[in-house]
Amino acid sequence: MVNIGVIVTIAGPPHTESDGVKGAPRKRIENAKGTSLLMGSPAASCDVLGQSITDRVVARLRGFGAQRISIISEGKLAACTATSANASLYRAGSTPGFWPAWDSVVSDYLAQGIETLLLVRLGPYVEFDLLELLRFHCESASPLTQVYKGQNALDLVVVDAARLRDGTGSFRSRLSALIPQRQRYAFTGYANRLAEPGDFRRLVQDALSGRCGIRPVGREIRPGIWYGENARVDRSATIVAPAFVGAETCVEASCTITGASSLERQCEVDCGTTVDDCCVLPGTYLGMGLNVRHALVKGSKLFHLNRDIEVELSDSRLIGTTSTSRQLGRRARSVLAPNGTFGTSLVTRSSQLASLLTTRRFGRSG
Amino acid sequence: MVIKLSEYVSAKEARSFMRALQPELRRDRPRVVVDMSAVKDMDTAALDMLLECMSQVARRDGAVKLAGISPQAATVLELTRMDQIFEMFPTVSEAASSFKVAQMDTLSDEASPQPAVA
Repeated sequence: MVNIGVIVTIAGPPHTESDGVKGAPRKRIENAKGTSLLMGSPAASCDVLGQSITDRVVARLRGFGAQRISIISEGKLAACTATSANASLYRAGSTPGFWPAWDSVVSDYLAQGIETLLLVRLGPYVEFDLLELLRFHCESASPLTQVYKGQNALDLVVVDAARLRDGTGSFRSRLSALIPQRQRYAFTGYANRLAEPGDFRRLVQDALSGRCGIRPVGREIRPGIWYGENARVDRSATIVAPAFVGAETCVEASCTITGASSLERQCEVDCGTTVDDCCVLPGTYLGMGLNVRHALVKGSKLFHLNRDIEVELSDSRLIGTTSTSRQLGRRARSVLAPNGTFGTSLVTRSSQLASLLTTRRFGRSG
Repeated sequence: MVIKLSEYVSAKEARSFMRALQPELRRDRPRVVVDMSAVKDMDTAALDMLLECMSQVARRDGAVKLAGISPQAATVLELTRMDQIFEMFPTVSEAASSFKVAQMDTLSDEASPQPAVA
């Protein structure tokens, strides 16, 4: 393994002028499809079967022996670092903005004497063989190698550090100057562009069915069904394989989880709800008796894959974040009678909706 | 009667809706078309309103039909399984026409000869 430094960039929203240098190559960044935002957050920071894409990519690079890895975000860092196991790798730079931070990291790497720089933008999720890529780069004798899948350039580049060390101007402009000399590396393995919510859903389906290298974080309790740590599934719930129930997620009575669905960590699916062909992102509450189908759900936002539409619901009794539901749980416990039974005045948002639906459908009894 | 729902339907709009519905409820076999083309968000109060409307209209042997449902409203109706309860039509005119067809069916049923009793 050559002395390599890796910069992983998390794609974010388009840059503003204050972020960096004017006149820089911005075409790709300004492309809305290239921002890889999933319901307001970078797709790379979202969990896929128990671990974020960024963390998975970093682990994979470490598996190939890459030791110097830095992560820079095109958008705000806070949301990413809060959830990432690799928070210490995040580099904001001493000056605000993406490109100054990027230049700063390259400068540090060059000072440490690295020979090769690997630039990964997430962006697309690509299961490349780093050793094979570096071998190709060395043999090609080109200062820059870019990975291609068919005719599409992936955001994966290998650069000779020596060529960045020489020259004038920012490292970014020196890199741009090398682009005409680039060599194409034809990649034939698994890649997902993660440009649209449907791509994210496909990545989860591929992972659950073993079509890519992503493995669920948790225990396979039955063939094709994984539970994360402290996941709680009621005995009356039906889980149809393949499925993933993340850490500390709670699936209540009479729920059905089917259609290769994933429930990420700290979610709550309330009684009688069906989740079919869905990705439920961390910390999401799904209310009682719902029929959640063909969707990505994150807090109060639901992206319907068939209708290609994002809906934000204001009523947290339907869908919302689990933090609110936990407050209700605490309140519920506080009104427990001394003998451990519920008092008559207990009203949770689940029970409100349940009473609403059951009374209307089946009529009032008594 | 056609009632158009606003962009955001919550408790306040639900009360207005139920008030607007009252004249129709005094009639025999009330027919109500709810135009949902503008709806972007609706909460459980709005869903309760639709169910209450259906319940009251059904008591007078009438019918409620939903029309021009926006993708957002369709998503909420599917989410809460209410798409299985209501009849839904692409446009208000198609929903209104369906009442005429239903009425003609009823008339033809009444006109058909009764089977002879042995």
